[in-house]
Amino acid sequence: MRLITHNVLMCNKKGCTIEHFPLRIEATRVEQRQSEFNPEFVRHMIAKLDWAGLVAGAKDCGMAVPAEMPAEADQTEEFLHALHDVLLDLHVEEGALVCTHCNRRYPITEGIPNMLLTEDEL
Amino acid sequence: MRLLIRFAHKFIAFRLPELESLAQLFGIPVTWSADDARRLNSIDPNEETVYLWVEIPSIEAAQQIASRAILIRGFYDVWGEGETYEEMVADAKARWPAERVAQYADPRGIKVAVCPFGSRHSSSETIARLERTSELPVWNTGPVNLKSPAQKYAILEYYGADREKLLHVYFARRVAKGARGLVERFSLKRREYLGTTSMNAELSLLMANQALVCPGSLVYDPFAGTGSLVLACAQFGAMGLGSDISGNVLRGLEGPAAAKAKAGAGGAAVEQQRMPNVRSNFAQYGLEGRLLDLLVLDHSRRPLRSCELLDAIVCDPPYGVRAGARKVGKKEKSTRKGSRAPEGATKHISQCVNYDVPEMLVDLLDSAAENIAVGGRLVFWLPTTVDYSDEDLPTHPCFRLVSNSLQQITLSWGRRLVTMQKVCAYDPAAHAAACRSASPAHKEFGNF
Repeated sequence: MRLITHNVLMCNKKGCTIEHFPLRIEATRVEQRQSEFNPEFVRHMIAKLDWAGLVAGAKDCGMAVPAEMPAEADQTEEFLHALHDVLLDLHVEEGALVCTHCNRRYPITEGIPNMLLTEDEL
Repeated sequence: MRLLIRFAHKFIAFRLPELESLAQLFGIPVTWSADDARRLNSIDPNEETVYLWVEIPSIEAAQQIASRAILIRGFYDVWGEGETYEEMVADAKARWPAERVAQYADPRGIKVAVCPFGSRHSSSETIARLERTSELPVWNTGPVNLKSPAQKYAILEYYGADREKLLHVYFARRVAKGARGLVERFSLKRREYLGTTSMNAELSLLMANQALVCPGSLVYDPFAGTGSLVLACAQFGAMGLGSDISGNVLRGLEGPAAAKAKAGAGGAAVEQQRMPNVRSNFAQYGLEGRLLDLLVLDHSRRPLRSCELLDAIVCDPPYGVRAGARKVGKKEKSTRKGSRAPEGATKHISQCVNYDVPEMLVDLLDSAAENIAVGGRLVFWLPTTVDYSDEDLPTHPCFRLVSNSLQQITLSWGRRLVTMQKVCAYDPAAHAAACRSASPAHKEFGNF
């Protein structure tokens, strides 16, 4: 699971309607895999990201992201590269996503988060 | 300028929507006459055709569209035409005399193809036709080179419904070649990991075009299965996200390949790394970097925050034709009590119940409205019976219907590729209740 995916996932358990985003990442195995720099995609995503969610997710994986999204003028090529590395090159392979509100754990195995609820949690 | 398009004679109702989508994607104004469009969509043997005259700004524009077009064989600059070869040759000689043709002279040579529509020719019949154009000055512009010619020309024939009588013939220079080569490249025959519902390559690529994906797009398939649709979008530069209610399908632990591997291992657990799966399908085409992520989730209870982050959703929802639709839920007669998994265990297998079609369509449109950016597209299949009427299409105030193309499967049913475009921002309070799904003739599809 990449951090950009983490940026859209929330807890959807019955009754859990506040503070269900972002989910805390408890990673037991994180991999760095370099991918082709994709400036179009990164630029396209910036405005759509939940920045606080990204900061929290990166922190859980031991990465630092500026607390505030840089103003457009400061979104240099260098910044885009750094953001690309955080959003796309970091893979949480094993671990779990944990809801900070209700503590529901969603396991991540082989890089695939399992967001299925049980029939009692609907 | 006026160019002639030669289409593939397949997926008839999909051809104009694809051309319109690509014109929109590249921002190129392309126009044609209403009567030509009607004939192109006709399935009447007396009218059907593969040719369409279009007005397009330039050859470069045609090449741009052709580079993505799955149902276009090529764009042609017509030099001469007529009801017979004699008329066509006379016309071409008058309009394109030797002086004018000379600009295309090239020592690397030329190739002239004979492309009949409505008939087939043996090689001797083809040669006979080429000989009937021997007076054309184009034959003096270079040697014949069938392998790598500098210029490609075509004799485009149109036969009547009796398949015998030539009604019209063009001589033309091919100025742009369509992207049909991708159909072969992505053929399911060569795909490592397949399921019973893997989408055929041609239709997958066509769906990617309908979705207007381009480099930098973010695409999501909520019923990803073996990932064919996301793969087609990735080919055109999109980053793709796929989810399925079954993790085993995504990981390659279900289906014939997995069963075979299990049998080979004497029923022992299969080493997951060696199993073909969605990821290995992407790796097969060198597109693994564009598979953003795979998720196991239940589409009826989406764990996605409300954000207009996607550029498109493409999907083939499970309607119960080949794979039934499931969602997590408690079976009415369930004897299982307190299904909470023991602390720390992840092995709880959620109970699933049927996910009925109207409900699934409402979920699909509502989730698309919530997560697609304004201007983005939703492309999905809808099975329909002969009783279909436009009323059967689900509607949503955020979406405008772009196209709706029927693929006839049997006499009594077919499926429609529905393309919708998001036209206004999502407002949960106003829109959640306004999404409408009729109870159409196909709602009982799973019970057929």
